Amino acid sequence: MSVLPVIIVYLSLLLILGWGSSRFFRGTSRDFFVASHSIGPFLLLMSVFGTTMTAFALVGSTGKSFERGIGTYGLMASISGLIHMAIFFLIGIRLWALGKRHGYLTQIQFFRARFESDGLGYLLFPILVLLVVPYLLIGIIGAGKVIEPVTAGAFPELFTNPTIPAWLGGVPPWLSGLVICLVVLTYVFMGGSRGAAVANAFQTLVFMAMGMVAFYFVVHSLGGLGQAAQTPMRMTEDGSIVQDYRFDQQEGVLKKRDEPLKIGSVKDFSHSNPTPRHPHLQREPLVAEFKRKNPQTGELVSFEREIGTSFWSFVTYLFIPLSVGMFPHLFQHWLTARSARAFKLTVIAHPICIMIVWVPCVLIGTWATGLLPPGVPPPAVLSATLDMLVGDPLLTGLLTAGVLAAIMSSLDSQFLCLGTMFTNDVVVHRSGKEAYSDSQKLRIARFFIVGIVFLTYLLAMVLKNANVFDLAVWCFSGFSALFPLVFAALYWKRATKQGAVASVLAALLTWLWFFRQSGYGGEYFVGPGITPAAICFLASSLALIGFSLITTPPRSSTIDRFFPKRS
Amino acid sequence: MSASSLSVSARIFWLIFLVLLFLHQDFWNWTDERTVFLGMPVGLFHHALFSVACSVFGAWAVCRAWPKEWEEWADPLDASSEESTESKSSFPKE
Repeated sequence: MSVLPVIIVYLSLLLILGWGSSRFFRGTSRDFFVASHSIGPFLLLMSVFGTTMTAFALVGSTGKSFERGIGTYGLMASISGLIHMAIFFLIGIRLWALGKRHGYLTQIQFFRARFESDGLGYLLFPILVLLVVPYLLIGIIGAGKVIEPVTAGAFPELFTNPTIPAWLGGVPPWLSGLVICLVVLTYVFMGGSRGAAVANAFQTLVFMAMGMVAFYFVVHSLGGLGQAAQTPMRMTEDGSIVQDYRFDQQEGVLKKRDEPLKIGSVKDFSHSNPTPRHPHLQREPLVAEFKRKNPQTGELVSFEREIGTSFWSFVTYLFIPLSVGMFPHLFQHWLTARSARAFKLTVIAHPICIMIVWVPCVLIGTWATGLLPPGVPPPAVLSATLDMLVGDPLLTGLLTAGVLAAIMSSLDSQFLCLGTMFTNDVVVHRSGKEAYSDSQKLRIARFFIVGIVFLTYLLAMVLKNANVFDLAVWCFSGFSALFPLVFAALYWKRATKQGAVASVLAALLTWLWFFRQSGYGGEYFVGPGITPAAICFLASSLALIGFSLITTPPRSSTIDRFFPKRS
Repeated sequence: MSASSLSVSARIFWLIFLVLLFLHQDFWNWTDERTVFLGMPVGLFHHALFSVACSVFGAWAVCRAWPKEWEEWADPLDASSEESTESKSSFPKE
């Protein structure tokens, strides 16, 4: 029960922060949409890092390493360090210069001007919204999955339909998702983009600090790093998968079992490396079979899980971080930052920040394989581990607040960005700047944000058991399929309007096809393990190149505007 | 400022990028589960070091390959950038 007050205090703090920011809010639409003009290097780093690290980073990475092992870090985190850094450097600075010189506020304004096409903006807008929605979804789903286990037993008579029986009485995902959405909407509406940036920086610091605190206490409970490294589930000579340890919650210590507990077995053992090993500490793939209890009937049901990562999956995952080049909120930061120098700290520190957050989460997920039942839903692994190993309600509450900070620091920027795009790129663009007063523009943006959040919330309730990591990968895959558009816009003079439209359509159609094949958000690979993102990217690139080469080049005035000559 | 003529620093940038991309694959660690540092198995430790290398690469890029020409091109018109695109753009609506 004591966990809840800590969470409530944290959420109240955010509201106070939003109220404080509202005192600096000038009430204009420009101040609401773009405070980035006044954001310096540190706030920019915190904002960029905070928005890219959502439930995906803390909840998703722990859950994914619980499934696949340490390869999770290489799949997403370390490659993101390289690709994000390169994109900030190669794309971000050029976009900043063009935004500064020509006054672009959103990415749709930029693409409309670069490709001399009004229609491209109308085509791009719904696609960007469609791709942002999964990003919002993972935040809302992640919040629900984190809060329910840590509040289990708090209201046994009120909440009687838990996700799994052990969480009876925990705050259900529908309520936690609703509260999180309302808190973020409130502080965003009060403080606009400046309020969001301040809250973002605060929350990014909170979740980085809490991540390290969580890691310290988990390591301490497991008896030190050396002991913790021994805990992951183990594969024996006969292909059984066993847990060698258990955590005694009464005494608060890790104990070796007298007999290893068999929890599953390797499937198709003849094709697996028969050497006894900890499959989560390596990357060689194998398929294992486990059992989990059906929460409704209590019946044991078999399920399969691939541990490790195939070579092709690992190689082709590098296409997924390209998504940062097309994230609307990052694009907006690039176009509207105070100065190019503000990016220097982000270019240098971003990979280290990723490491600080991801390494502990991946280790916790890997260690948890030896302690938790294999059927625990991946998004709930982090909180279930904290609940089991840390135990102290105050500490668990603080750590949960850290996870919520990571989630909310992404939601706020996305909410704002959607409102900015809708108001500027659709409503004002269509009707003209003078058609609406400043306060009307603000109201339009707020209504659109509320509408999207409402729809996303409903969708989150339907998809409440979706895997946060996989859903995020689908969102990133869509944006990475659009990456050729921004790269060509900045580096290829011959790229034309027709090429751009063909590229966007190819990206959309291939993405929709694979998304459907995946069962709308599940893990999906093509052939030997190729990620759909690689194929979508290829289709989009080929369409852009092919259609650009067979159509009339852009006007020379446009080329001069976007490709300044050397002085 | 055209992209066609790559400067020396740009070439070095791409060379380092490709080397790091290769190092990221670390197929030589795939079946090795030795714990080497702070409870990390070698496969994870390699990638943690890789993240540090990316930061060092970023620091080098900022110091040695910073696109000053773009910065200088954008800065002189600071004041006029307050005007929005809508008012400046002369592209006809379709």
